[in-house]
Amino acid sequence: MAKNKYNKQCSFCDEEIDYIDYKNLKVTNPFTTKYAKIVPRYYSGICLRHQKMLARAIKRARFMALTPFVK
Amino acid sequence: MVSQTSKNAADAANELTKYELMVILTPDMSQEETDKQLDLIRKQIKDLHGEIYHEDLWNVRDLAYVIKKHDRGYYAIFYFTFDGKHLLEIETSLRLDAKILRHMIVKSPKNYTIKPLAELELTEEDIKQKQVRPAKPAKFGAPRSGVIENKEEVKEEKEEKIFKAEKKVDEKVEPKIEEKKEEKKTMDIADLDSRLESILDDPDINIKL
Repeated sequence: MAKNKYNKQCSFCDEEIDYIDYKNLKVTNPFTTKYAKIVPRYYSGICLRHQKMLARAIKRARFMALTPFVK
Repeated sequence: MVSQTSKNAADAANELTKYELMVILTPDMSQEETDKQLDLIRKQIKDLHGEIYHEDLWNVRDLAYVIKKHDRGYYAIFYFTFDGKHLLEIETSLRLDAKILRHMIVKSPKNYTIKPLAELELTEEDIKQKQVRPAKPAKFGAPRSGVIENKEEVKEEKEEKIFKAEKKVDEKVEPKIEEKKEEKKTMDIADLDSRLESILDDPDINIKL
């Protein structure tokens, strides 16, 4: 239980975000590495719900050639 | 109670779902041709009783990777309400069009606010910031992450030190005036390049080699 208390640092939860737009590169870009990979949850501290949203947004952006698959 | 639920159901049925369609067109069409192509898409949506409530034209942009031998593309986004039954018809027609490099239809949430391109795009500052400070590790994350991060930091520091040392040597050897001249030359070339590119980008000009 205590772990949950300290781990709570999901920035999307703080802003109560329900949808992450794939076009908004400003939001998704900080959660990709320099090789354009999606940053794992244990690095970024994002909650599972928002990590799934993020992943979907990044994958959509990749398909539409807004962000590269690999750099 | 029964009447209320049925009413709600009726409302839900009347409220068509919102969709957004993003299209990448080939960049080597003239302005007229692209307009025609966009009109075609608009017509297809309207013919199937869709209603476009907003559209964004991003113009020709660099693609993140090459698609069908094109490294640039004309982006257009249509926001429309639509009956999901006919979605497949639009899909197929878009897929069969050779001038459309990519397309994607996505359900947009009910309370979606449309933002202009300037608010979505990465600025040079964003990229710089990322280079300085990549994804920071979680405080209570896996211990492995911390170790890796530290090693990288140490390496970077060492590299920086070497870099600085080299720079100092260079500065001593080369006189400062020459450096300035070189800067001017490179600036001129960059300026020319950007101008040339802007001319070449104009789709109405035909250049035949």
